[in-house]
Amino acid sequence: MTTTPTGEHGDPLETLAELLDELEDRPELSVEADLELYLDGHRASVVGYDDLVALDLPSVPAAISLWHNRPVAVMDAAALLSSVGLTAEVRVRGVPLARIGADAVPSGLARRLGLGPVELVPEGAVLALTRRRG
Amino acid sequence: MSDAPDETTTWPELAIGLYDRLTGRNAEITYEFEDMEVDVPSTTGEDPEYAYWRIDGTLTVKAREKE
Repeated sequence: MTTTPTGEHGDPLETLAELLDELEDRPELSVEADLELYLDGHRASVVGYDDLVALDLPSVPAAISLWHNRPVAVMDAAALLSSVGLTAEVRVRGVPLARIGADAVPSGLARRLGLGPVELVPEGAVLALTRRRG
Repeated sequence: MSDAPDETTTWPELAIGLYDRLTGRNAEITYEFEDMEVDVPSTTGEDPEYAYWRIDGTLTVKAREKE
């Protein structure tokens, strides 16, 4: 793939900060998605509704495992999602557990737990842990 | 001096290139995955571990005005 240099002074963009600067004041993105995923041993689905992208996982242990093996730092993912007006929501069997990005309100608890700019849905965690598999 | 585009060498440059193609033309891009298999590296450094991902379905991305 090729592209024209777009950074300051025409230099190639090299860092996330430079990318975020380039995205400032540009249009946001809308996502429609209907995906089935197999993520390192865990089945999952992704549904996109305009500015919200939901990742639905089969269990809390699967969510924790994928969290530990995520390919992108949470801070970077949150900043990039916010810059294009998208919010990502992690669900377990349809129950929201956490959000990052444009519409997420980072929780003090998440920061104290070292999770970064994440909005936790505490009642979602309780529901996901106690709900029987349907 | 040539007007030919340079080769993309960094992921931010790739991302902004894709973004410009999408938003510059008010375009809508649809990706259709049919059991696409990807080995996702844990890091961009040396000796990363790889996670196996398989993707099936449709993803459509388009630009919208800021709220």
